[in-house]
Amino acid sequence: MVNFVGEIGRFALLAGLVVALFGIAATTLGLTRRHGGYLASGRRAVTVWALLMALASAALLTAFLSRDFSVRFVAMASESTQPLLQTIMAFWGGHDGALLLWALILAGYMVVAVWSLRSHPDLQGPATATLLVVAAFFSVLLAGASNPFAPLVPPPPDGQGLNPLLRNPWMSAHPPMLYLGFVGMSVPFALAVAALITGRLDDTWVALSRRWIVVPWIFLTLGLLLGAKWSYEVLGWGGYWAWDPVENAAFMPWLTATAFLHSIQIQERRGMLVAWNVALILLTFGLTIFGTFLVRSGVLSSVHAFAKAPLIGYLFLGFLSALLLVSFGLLAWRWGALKSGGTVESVISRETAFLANNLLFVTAAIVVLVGTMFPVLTEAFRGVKINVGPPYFNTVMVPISIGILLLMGIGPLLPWRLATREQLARNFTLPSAAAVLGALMLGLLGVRHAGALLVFAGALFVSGTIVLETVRGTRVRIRRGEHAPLALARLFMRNRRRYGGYVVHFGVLLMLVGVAASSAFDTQAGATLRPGERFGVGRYTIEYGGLRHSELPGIDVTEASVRVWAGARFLGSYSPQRYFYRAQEQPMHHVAIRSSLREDLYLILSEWTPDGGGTIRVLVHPLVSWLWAGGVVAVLGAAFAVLPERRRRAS
Amino acid sequence: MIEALFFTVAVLIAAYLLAPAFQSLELPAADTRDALDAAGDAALRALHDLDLDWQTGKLSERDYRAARATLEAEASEIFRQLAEPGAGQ
Ligand code: HEM
Repeated sequence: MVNFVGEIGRFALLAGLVVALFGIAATTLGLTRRHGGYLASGRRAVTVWALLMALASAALLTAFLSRDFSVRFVAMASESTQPLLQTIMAFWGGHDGALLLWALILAGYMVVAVWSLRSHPDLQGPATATLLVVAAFFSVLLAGASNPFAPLVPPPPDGQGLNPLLRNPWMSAHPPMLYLGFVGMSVPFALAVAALITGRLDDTWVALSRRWIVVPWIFLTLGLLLGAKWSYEVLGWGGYWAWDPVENAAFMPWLTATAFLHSIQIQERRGMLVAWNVALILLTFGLTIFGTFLVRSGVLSSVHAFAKAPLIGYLFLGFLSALLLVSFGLLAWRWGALKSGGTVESVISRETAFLANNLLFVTAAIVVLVGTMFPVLTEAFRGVKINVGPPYFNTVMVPISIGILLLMGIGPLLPWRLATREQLARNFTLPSAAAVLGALMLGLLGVRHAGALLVFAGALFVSGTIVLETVRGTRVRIRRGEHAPLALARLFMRNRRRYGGYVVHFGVLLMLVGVAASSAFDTQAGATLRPGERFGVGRYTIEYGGLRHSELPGIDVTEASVRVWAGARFLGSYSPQRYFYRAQEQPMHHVAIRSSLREDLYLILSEWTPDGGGTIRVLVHPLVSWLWAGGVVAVLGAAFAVLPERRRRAS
Repeated sequence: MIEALFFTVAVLIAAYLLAPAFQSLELPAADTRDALDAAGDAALRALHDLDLDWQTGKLSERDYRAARATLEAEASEIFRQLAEPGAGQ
């Protein structure tokens, strides 16, 4: 039995590489010789590759569940006392397993994409070949430098255990979601390459790309949210976003994908910006590979570590360069054919709003890229690593976000081609009034922070426009004799993309309000107390009740008991904890959070003394829950927008 | 023992992959109907959206009528082509 699983895994990964290469050859031959049989072979290669990745994944899972420490990766990421869920999570708790999960997800996307392209046979072939190239790249890594089945001789009696930071339910869902987002971008990429090769950047391509980018966009959004939630609940510093390179790596493709979701509408309606749209897709996919490179190659911890160590970094860099070179080469080759017909006729139109939207999103992506790469570049060229840090990102991203927020209100209310003055007045008076009144009221209530006031006013403005659009659309249906609830439901159901988009926007504005409030108005305090002593933070009174020490398998737990009042009202007892993982010699926070719509009370046990004294740090973050709620709303809105619509075949 | 198993699986995979390569399957002709179909969908969506924009007060009547006429003409041209016998061949 020993190593049997490992051998199956190694076989599946090696066979996967051969099959992917075969598939590329068969599909390419089929396309150049116009031979349907070869193309069919290529499609079969996709199926077989997927089955082999499933087999390898099953083998790895078996190795984890049977605690087969003769497999190095299993010994590295799990240990025998680990509970079931953590043992399963260990699958992607390290580099090699994460790559296998990546390949498994790619396999799933490929099977569905190739199958669903059967009604577009001329796109199917080149898209299959492109996807197989991506598959082959991951197969090279998995069969070689990153083989999760590399043996360990002699097998140790026990494994090292999963990194304590990753033993959290939010973390369990975070990487799969992120990969579903990242890997999913391969499909629109393959479609773009296929359309460039066949010269078919027409309405079919537009419809297919839009559908195939919204789905990974949803997963990427969820992945970012879960990552933020994890940072908030597990890292114990009280924040949810640190402009960490790993976070940025996921944020950049999200920004360019969001830009594409909007600019594709200009092509759809006006036939313009074809080349730009293709470029955005190529860039989005390039950024997912680049992000993986950043995270996986070790280049971030130190350029020198990267230069000395791994082959894998160079493989990624080579693949990325080849990819960008070939795909942008194709774009340049088609350039002449991509002359777009239309022109922008007026400055005040949907077209210009979308152009401004794209300008902001792409600028944001560049800002994040520069900030992320700055330490790497300074280290490479000047020998010193200079981190730009959150102040850089915040200084630039705050105005960009406010711009995006305002545009989100303006854009949807502008008509295509040009707007007239009466219509502008009619559409913008109420929302602007709401924004100004709201800002005045908040000002009178004592809100003095200019940036936050702008965001709140902007959010009111956007909400106003969304409400107005919904009310007007519903009224038209009521006039036709529908009852109000039915009219509203039908308005949404019959215009899924538009109203789904508005729901996404509403979610985004909730998130921005949450971010603005929690970063502008947070208060914190800390105190070292004896049991029975109290201290105050904002409207809260905190009473420290003492410490309790206990043990879990492999973990020392220290727990403080804390009682909380708001004014005279008793809110409850809380127990912020500290875990100490003995084997890894790693301490971890288990913070206590009291969450409400109004604010979060975040309790940290930072230190304690042998005689039972404890240092409690308390953070009060207003409106943090709006961030999570807004994220969920945005995801649901996008899922609604992408639901298939009935084909309207009017006479 | 396990080597024999791997060998058998590899042979089966190879047979499965290569089988279609020996058939001379007809390569489907580039389908212009496919593109026309999508263009038709897009044109109908554009009309639908334009109507909603008009109903929710984003356009003046004159702009609406002009845009509607253009879009209708585009749509009917697409559907005329789609209705032609042999469209997409
Ligand atoms: C972070 C900010 C934003 C996010 C996450 C976002 C997301 C989305 C999503 C997912 C859709 C649905 C697209 C589809 O299903 O194809 C959409 C639609 C739309 N968005 Fe945004 N958007 C943002 C900002 C903006 C901005 C700044 C504008 C201003 C021009 C804008 C204008 C629109 C319009 C006009 C629609 C289409 C509605 C329709 O079909 O009529 N969005 N948005």
